[in-house]
Amino acid sequence: MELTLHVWRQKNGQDSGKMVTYKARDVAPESSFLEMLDQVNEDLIKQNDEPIAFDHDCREGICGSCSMMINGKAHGGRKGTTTCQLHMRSFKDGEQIYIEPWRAKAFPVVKDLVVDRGAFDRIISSGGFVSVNTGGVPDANAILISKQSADTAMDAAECIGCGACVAACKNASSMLFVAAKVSQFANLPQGQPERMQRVSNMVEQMDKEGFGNCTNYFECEAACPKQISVGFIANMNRDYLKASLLHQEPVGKA
Amino acid sequence: MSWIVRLQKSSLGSKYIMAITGAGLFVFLIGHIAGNLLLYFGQEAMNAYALSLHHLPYGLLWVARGGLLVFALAHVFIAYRLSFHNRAARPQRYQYEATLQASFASRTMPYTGTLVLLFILFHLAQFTFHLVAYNGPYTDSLGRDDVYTMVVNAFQNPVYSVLYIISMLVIGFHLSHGLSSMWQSLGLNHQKYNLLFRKLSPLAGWVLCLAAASIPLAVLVGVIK
Ligand code: HEM
Ligand code: FES
Repeated sequence: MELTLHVWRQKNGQDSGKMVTYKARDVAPESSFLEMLDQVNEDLIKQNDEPIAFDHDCREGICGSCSMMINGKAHGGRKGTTTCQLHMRSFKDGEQIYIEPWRAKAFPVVKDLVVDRGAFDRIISSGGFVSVNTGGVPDANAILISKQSADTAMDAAECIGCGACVAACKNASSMLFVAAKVSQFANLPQGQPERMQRVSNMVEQMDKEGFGNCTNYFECEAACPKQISVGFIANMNRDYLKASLLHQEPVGKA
Repeated sequence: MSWIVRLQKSSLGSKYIMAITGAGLFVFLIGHIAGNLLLYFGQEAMNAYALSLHHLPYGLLWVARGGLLVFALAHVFIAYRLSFHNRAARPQRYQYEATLQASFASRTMPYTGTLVLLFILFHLAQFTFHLVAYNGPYTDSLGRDDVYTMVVNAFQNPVYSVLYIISMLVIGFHLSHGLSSMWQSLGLNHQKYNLLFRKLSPLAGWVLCLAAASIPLAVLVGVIK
């Protein structure tokens, strides 16, 4: 296959950046999108050009680092697929492909296609701890949990924090990410002790980071490579409402 | 009180207010349009209804007007604040824009909302404040507000009737997203009720707005005269 790539090139955070056109030649249909970029980068290195910077790690759809916008779609828009698992056979020979970094104020570009997703880490740490017992090993089934709750929590926990929801959202909102991280604990008995405080802190941190708001486009759900449901956003909305209206500090002394 | 200030400023708190005020405005709209469908029953029915509204006990008319104003102002103020934040959250747009499933109605809420706002201002100027040129009587033979003649007279002018019909379609469009979105904003998303949340609610909005649009249309084609 031969493809024409239009790639966002930006030296660093201060550089204004621009789209640059490259040819990708002899691309095997069975290679992955990242392997295709590796091939282009090898050519660039041979020509003494700066290779295209992009994030990647596991290359098996579990780490969430291979974040890029392909023809306006996060991870290329193939259902339930990360960029590293996207194969070149889903493109046509001779196709024009536009590759851009995630665009959000909260995700500043570091270089080319690499953005700083530290905002997600700060949201996670604002969520705080989960109470666990110390001492002897607890009996494995001491805390009963329904299969339905366990499955729901696991569906939320599938989120790999890649940021596709933010990238795809017309408002650059991170609600789907935060909702998944809130819901993975809210649906488990172990998550109950800090439930109200956790959702308050995480939503507050999310707002501080400069993400947009949710207009319920549900674009995030369609873009999510782990197919996280917007039902979790409703879950977060419920919990935050309850926390805002009812949660109080320790009663303290009179 | 500081927690209320913090809540209304937060992203989710803003959305609760949008949903509650939007739902409130919709409930008003149901009453307002149902009342105005009395135009189909003639001058006596319409004017008697209008008079009874003005003679509601305990100043309920002013309570309703005050509540409506607060809801409308909150809805509009927060709508623009949200839209402004949303724009600021993506300072640099994509060169290649694509949409997977966001509906056209959802992506145009600030624009349809602005059109609705302009329509409401015009509507008030015309039928409440009587600021739009009209040479008919404002009272009937019994000395009541002659709402019937005022409205029918206005809609006999195709400029006004077409404007109202288009405006009703715009409101229907705003509601086609709004009335399903408001449930989600309040955390209501449930496999058993999503038919109501996602399909029946927008349908109710369309039925209402088309019923409203039928009034200027009926005047224009001479069914109401
Ligand atoms: C007939 C009057 C109106 C009704 C019944 C109505 C109803 C609604 C409803 C139910 C929602 C959904 C709220 C949610 O997502 O939770 C909504 C959203 C919205 N409305 Fe209205 N609305 C009206 C007038 C207006 C006006 C005058 C504006 C003026 C700017 C406006 C702007 C918006 C915007 C921008 C949103 C989306 C907010 C967001 O989610 O980002 N609306 N409306
Ligand atoms: S590289 Fe890990 S998910 Fe793609």
